[in-house]
Amino acid sequence: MSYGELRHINVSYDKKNFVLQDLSLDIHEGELLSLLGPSGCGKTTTLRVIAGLIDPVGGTFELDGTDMTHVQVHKRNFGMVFQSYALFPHLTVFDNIAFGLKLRNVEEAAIRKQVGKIMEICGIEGFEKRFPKQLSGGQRQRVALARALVIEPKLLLLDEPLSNLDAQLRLQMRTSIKRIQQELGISSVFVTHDQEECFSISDQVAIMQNGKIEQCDSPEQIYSHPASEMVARFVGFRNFFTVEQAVGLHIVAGNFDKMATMMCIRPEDIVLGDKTFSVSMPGTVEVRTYLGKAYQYEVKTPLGMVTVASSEDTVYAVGATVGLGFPREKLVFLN
Amino acid sequence: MYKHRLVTIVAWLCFAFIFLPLILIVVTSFNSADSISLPLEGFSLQWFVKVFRSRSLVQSLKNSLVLALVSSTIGIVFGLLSSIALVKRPGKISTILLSIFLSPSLIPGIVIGYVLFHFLVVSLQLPLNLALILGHLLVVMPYSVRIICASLKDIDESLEEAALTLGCPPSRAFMKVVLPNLRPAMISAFMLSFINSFNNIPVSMYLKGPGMNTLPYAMMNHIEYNYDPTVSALSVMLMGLTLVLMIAMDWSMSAQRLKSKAAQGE
Amino acid sequence: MKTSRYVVLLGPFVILAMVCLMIPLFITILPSFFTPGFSFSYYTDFFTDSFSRNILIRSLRLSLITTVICIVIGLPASYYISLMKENRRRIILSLILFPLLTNAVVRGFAWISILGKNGLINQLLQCLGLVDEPVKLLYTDFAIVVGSVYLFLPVMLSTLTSVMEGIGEDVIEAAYSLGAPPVATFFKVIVPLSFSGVLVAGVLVFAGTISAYTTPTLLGGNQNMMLATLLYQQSNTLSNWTNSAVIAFIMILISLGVMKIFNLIAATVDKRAEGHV
Ligand SMILES: Nc1ncnc2c1ncn2[C@@H]1O[C@H](COP(=O)(O)OP(=O)(O)OP(=O)(O)O)[C@@H](O)[C@H]1O
Ligand SMILES: [Mg+2]
Repeated sequence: MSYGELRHINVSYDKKNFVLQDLSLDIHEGELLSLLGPSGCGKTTTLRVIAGLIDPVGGTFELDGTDMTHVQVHKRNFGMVFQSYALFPHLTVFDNIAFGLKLRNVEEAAIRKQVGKIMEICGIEGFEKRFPKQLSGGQRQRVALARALVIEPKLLLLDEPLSNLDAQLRLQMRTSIKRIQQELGISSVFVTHDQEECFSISDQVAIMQNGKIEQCDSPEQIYSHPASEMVARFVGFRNFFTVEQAVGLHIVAGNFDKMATMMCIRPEDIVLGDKTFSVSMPGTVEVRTYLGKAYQYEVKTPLGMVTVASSEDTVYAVGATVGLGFPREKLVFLN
Repeated sequence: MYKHRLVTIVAWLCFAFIFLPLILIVVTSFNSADSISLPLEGFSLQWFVKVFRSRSLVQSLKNSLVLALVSSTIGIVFGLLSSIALVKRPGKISTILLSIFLSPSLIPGIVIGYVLFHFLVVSLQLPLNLALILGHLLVVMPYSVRIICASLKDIDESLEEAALTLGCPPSRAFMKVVLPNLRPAMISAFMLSFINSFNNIPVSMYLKGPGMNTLPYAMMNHIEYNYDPTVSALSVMLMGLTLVLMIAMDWSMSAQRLKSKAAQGE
Repeated sequence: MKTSRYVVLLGPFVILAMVCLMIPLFITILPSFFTPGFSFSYYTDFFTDSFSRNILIRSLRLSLITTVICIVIGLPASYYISLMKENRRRIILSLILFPLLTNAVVRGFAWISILGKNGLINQLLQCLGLVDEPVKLLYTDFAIVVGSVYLFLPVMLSTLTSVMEGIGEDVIEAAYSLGAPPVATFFKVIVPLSFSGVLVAGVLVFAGTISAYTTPTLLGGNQNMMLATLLYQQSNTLSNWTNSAVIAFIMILISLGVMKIFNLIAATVDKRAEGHV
């Protein structure tokens, strides 16, 4: 049984359209779960349901065996890092971080000790007396994280915490977050719409679309075995065709899942050779683009247009006839 | 950057036009001559003494101060309540109400004074001091609502949510994390309300009565019959008061900044 | 937010606005449309009576003159301010705003002392032997305009300065680099770009002047009445409720109408500006 369980959650802002539909999700203890999906798919909404900031219309949320569905926000003891950070502008860094502890009537000395420790972990020692306005974006981010962590939350929730940072800082911060999360062993839910960021730090990834979970798996599993066309497209598959077509053209033989109707392959997994290439399908190069590491070709074949990326030394000109090979192990079948 | 000579000339004439009359008042208030005239005759504080000897001026000064204090205090409290509702629940009704709350600054003051007089005093026969307070509340309403609303909109909505997730009960979240950040706005709303109520003539003029006069109108009466620098002296005192208010406001606004500067210096 | 809380929070000011503004306006002004049946005859009376019509025309004329003068002085002066160094600019701006915080009587009184029969200007002229008798400056339309300009120039300056600060040196330098001489730059770049500010401040000045009471009373006297002084006379001295209601309604119409017209102009200008960018 998992640590946290969302079951059959429905959410509607206007009582007509459902933003989340029958959503179920498992959070494993000590792991970092990412919610990944296009803008507007309901990631923030899901996170806010977990935090208790939104009441779902139906469904339940259990954590560690206790029903949390109707527990009020301030009694949940979850740490949340907001996209805007939501640091209290009138309080110093120290007072921001100590805010939650003071509400728990922790003694002065203990507060100082715990705040000091968490600031050290987050790498913001020495900024105690500053106000949020006097910090850089990355520092604010760390203060927000420290503030959420110091209350020793049962769950850490992060809503696109890196989206306001520049590219280099994002890279650095995501490593920090991962390190701190592992060090403290804290179960976390991380919202993002950046695929690379998500795959690099998650133990589990939930891909969302239109208020539903499309697939929830480890990053490796999602990368190599997407469960649906949407997920496949999301993780870089470009070439889709029906099984019927593939069998007709002898790309695959009989030994595959008979339930499958679709199959797909990444551009870089297709083998490209000249027209003498055996076990291949002929095609004509129509467009060639240079990508730096590789050339990308749009090839016209009996399957339709196929996108191929090739880092081979041989370069084909537009109009050239080529042969395409589809390695069996790289083909992914979709139901 | 290049400036045409004409621009400089117009600008300095403009500054002179704005400041010389005020300087004239200040200078003549210390002059011993009993009319506003140049050249100066000699230094004297007699006009300042005269202000305090004038029963009507002193009484109306007290009235004006109390009136401005009461109406601005009530004004910012009500303004805060209304702003919370308007900002936290936007929509058609809120938009309409906001424009109603702001309308007293669009309608000519004298019209407001007249309709208030006609309705509250003539029709409803309310006591004058109550009518005067209501009238001044109406005068300060646009300032408190506009300033507090603007500031409240600027404050990140997730502050309250952040406080909740950290364990703050909903009943205390607003007080703990939103209200402190509204302080500068509340102070400037109070100052602007105070100054506008204190200087108001058209509304007070209609709602005055025996013993219920306000300072600006008393000054106006005084000018009609006396031409001496008493009013200059009074004006100088008012300017001093205004200056103190302005500096106090500036100071309280930058207090936060100073505090944080000090922290930065460490 | 729950509806009950919404109502409670808004209650005080809604009640105030209803009891002290909406209902009084309605009750006071409605009778001016009934004689006793519904008609506009009080209004036609107002416009046909030469006394009141002249006051209306004077009010419009003096407000317009005041507005134009404020704009003509305000544009170069705020251009000058906007070019000042940060510190000096901050000081001069707060000095300019200072008179706004003193009451209108103080400011009117200053001009009485300057323009009056024994005022500074007459003292000066007589001293220099330019005139034998005091010139009549006070209690004229001229005095009203001077007083009103004095009253509202700070508004114009602060509005225009903030707009001009936003124009940015790069635009001005771009104009220079294209070969526009400074004077042309001022009229072809600065003035058009400040147009929205001119409109905003212009409305404030116009509406302010036409509804002012203190300045025309102190500087215009009994002879040179404006709408506000007429309203006070009709209501307070003569207790003529219908005439007062007519004037009040006309004043509201002018104030709101001017605001509306200027907003429309500003909206079209904004659209034009968007098209350019
Ligand atoms: N307060 C609200 N009222 C009404 N609809 C809302 C509200 N908040 C979100 N929605 C709608 O709910 C849907 C999901 O929103 P949500 O904020 O959860 O998306 P998201 O996945 O976080 O997107 P993004 O990546 O852009 O942050 C969107 O279609 C949005 O328009
Ligand atoms: Mg979101």
